[in-house]
Amino acid sequence: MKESRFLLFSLVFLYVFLIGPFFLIFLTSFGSESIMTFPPKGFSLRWFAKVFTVRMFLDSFWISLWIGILSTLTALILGVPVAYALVRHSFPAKGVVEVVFSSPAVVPGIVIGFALLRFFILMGNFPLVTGLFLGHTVILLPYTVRVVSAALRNFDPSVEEAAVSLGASPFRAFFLVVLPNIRAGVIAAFILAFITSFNNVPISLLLTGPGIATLPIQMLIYMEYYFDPTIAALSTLLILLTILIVQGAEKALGISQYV
Amino acid sequence: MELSRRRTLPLLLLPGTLCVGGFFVLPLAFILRESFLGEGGRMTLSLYVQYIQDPKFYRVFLRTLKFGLLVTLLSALISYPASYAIARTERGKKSILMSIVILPLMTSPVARTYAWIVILGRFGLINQTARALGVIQEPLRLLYTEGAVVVGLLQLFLPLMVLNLVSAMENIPPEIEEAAQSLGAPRWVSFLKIIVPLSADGLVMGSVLVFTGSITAYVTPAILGGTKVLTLATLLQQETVVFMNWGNATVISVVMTGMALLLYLLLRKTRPKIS
Amino acid sequence: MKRVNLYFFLPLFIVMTITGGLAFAGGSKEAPKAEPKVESKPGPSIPAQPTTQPQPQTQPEIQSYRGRTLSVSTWGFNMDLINKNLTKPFEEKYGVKIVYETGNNADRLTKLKARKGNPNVDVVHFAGNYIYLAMKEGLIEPYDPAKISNLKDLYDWAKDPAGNRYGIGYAISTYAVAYRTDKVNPPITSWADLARPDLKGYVTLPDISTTFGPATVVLIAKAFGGSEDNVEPAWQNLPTIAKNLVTVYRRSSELITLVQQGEVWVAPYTSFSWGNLLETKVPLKSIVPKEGTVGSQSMVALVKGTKNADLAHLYMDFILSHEVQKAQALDLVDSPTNKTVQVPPEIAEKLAYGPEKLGNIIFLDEAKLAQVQEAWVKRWQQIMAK
Repeated sequence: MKESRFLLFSLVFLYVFLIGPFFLIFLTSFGSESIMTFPPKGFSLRWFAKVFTVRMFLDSFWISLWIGILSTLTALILGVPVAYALVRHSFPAKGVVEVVFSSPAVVPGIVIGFALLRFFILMGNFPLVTGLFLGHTVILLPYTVRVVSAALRNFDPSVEEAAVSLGASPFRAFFLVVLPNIRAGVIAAFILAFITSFNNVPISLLLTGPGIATLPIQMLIYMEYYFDPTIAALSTLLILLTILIVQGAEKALGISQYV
Repeated sequence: MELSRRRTLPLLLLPGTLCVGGFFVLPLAFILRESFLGEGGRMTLSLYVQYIQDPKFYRVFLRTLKFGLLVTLLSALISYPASYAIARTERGKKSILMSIVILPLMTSPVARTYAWIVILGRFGLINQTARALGVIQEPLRLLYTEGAVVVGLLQLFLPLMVLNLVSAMENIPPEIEEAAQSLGAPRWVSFLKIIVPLSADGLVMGSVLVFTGSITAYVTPAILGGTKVLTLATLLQQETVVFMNWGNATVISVVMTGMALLLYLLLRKTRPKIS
Repeated sequence: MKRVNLYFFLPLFIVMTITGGLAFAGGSKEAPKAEPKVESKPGPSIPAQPTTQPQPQTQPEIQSYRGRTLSVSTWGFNMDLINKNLTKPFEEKYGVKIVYETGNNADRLTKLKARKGNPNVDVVHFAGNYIYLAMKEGLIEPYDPAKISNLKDLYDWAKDPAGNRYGIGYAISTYAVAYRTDKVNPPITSWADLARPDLKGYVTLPDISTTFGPATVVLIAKAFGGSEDNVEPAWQNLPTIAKNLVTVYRRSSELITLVQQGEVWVAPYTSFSWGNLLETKVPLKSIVPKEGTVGSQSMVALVKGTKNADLAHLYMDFILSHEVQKAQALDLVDSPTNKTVQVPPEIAEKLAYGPEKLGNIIFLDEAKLAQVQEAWVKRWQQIMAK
């Protein structure tokens, strides 16, 4: 039975290491001192209140939200057909297509950000927001393609073929038969892609300018100048939100199989 | 049917390809070309030759590789027994365990890394505890050290290793182990002789992902390493934002991209079925 | 494939709605900050100076500003107070939105260079020597004095410090040394003391890229027998001082944390951070070292090629106004260059303010410093990297 105790220990160690730090953030976010210390002294909610009054957090929250939603939708609209082609069609250069559509997730984000900055923003005079939108869309594509592909593989093609043989156009068959059946996969793709965009730092890092910064970048900037627990409070809120989404998505969709 | 399929294929692939081609391949190709461009528009390797001799680049490059190897090794060591334990729990509990494992992957990287400031800071958990216990008098500097970066990266990338190992171990029927044990093999022997070889695929996948992630991560070294412990990613940021040295930045970009793509392609070659 | 159970997302949607709602509410009624503490007891006021609003703008002109955005490149220090004293009043008065790009002098100069010819900021705040660097690179352009009605209220040295109307001094800061009275004995009297072996590990210096970076080199040179024209003694002695450093700071906020956490006992600091340093409640004393007090002006300048030159002039005028200068002084954000601003003595002693202090300030030749800047940065980094 010694082995199983060792297994239990390793399991506990893993989980303490993975999520223990989050509990410490929760604790510090309630401290009343204006500098982060541990253990926190006193109890106060003022850092949570401050999160909602710091102007740059509010502005960047909306930027992150919009960039996230728009890029995720675009990546889905572009990615679903690609996934469909990869799963249902066989064609010569399939391997190349696969590589091309996964490489944005392989190439370091900061390199993509740097390339977009040089090529589109500085040379092409694109507005920063456009650069952010394009960069995010590109790095989300691999996620939507992969997750939707997985969902398509689990869906029996004969159902769709039956619909086509009954006279439906492939187009109609896709929307009436395939899409409703891979709905869970599409929603999982949306959630994963949105979280990826909302949390992204490397792409957004260099695509930042006056008045334009995503929330994670704004948090980094704030951390350079202030050491109060506002960041802890904001982190607490973000972590709680993430737990809600991940738990919900895991229960409803089994999202961990797509990560 | 087959004919209409062939006609729809370009339609399916075209929009996505245009997007990736125009906004990903093209800018990267531009960077690649620029990295070889010398004075007067001739192709040259001078940027590389110059920068690779720069001790700063050299040091940062080696340090980044060291971080990658260290994090991969540590995460494999920690994950192996824990993943085995997860793989052998019953379904309901496993789902909960897995959803907790992926939490760090889903959390805002700034929030996640900030937690380590709470732990490692001058007035953080470790220093305060050690001082209360009388182990140390003056607080130790734990932040902005190589150790801090490795610990932060480990928390970030452990989940990838665990996910891959668990899914590999799930496919090993428990009967094999039971058979081995009924033949008198102690459990740790059956673990080493059966589980480890049969989950090697998961280990390879996990290792490549963890290694690639570690050598390209930005937020963790930026916050926990600062300007003292630079990695390739933070050096790229510095060359761009602080020094505006496009030449050096393109060289770092090409080096990082080259390593990441090479590893990915190797992985595809050796194990064509990436699930 | 599992079926999607939408009920699982219900709590999520609720949370998101609440968060969104709160964010909106927070945005619209940003809690009114407490009034500056000392406002109630005004100093001796000067009756003669008519310091009220600039000439009322004609209605159509104000209309043409409404809804536009002005981008300002500045340090990120004390942003909440600047927001209260400058940003919000300006936005309310003209209906213009201000967006900021923050960073230290060097980083922001780099960003301007990258954007040369097609700038995305309209106004830039720089320390003196960086104004010269920006001038040399052709990144800023002269302002139009006719559009700056508050110019007449400034001290003469603030009106055009860089020459050719490239920048206006809106704040003056001095460079002094503070030390922990409970830890440092004998007291600090000279920059040479920074090399004292008993201070090993408890000294800090501002980075060469900060406002007073070059001044640090000059002052250390003076302490070891050099002068503004002969800084060689500084380079000879900096390696010794470097061994005493806990770190080099790039932002005043960094210095404040270092002091607060007890990592630093001897801290050369810029006068605008004195208020924050006092708030740390660490026993600190500020001294004028025998090498003297160096001063520098924070300047605003017009970015070359800006499409919002009209708004930029409004902003530059606004920042010089009696109201803004006084509010910033009372909050210890900046020491005024508007001579109509009067502050009570307990504020004045914490600022670079009053004829006695202003009279003793040494101004270095910043145009010349800008010329040697690059070489100094290189030497400095070589020493500090060891």
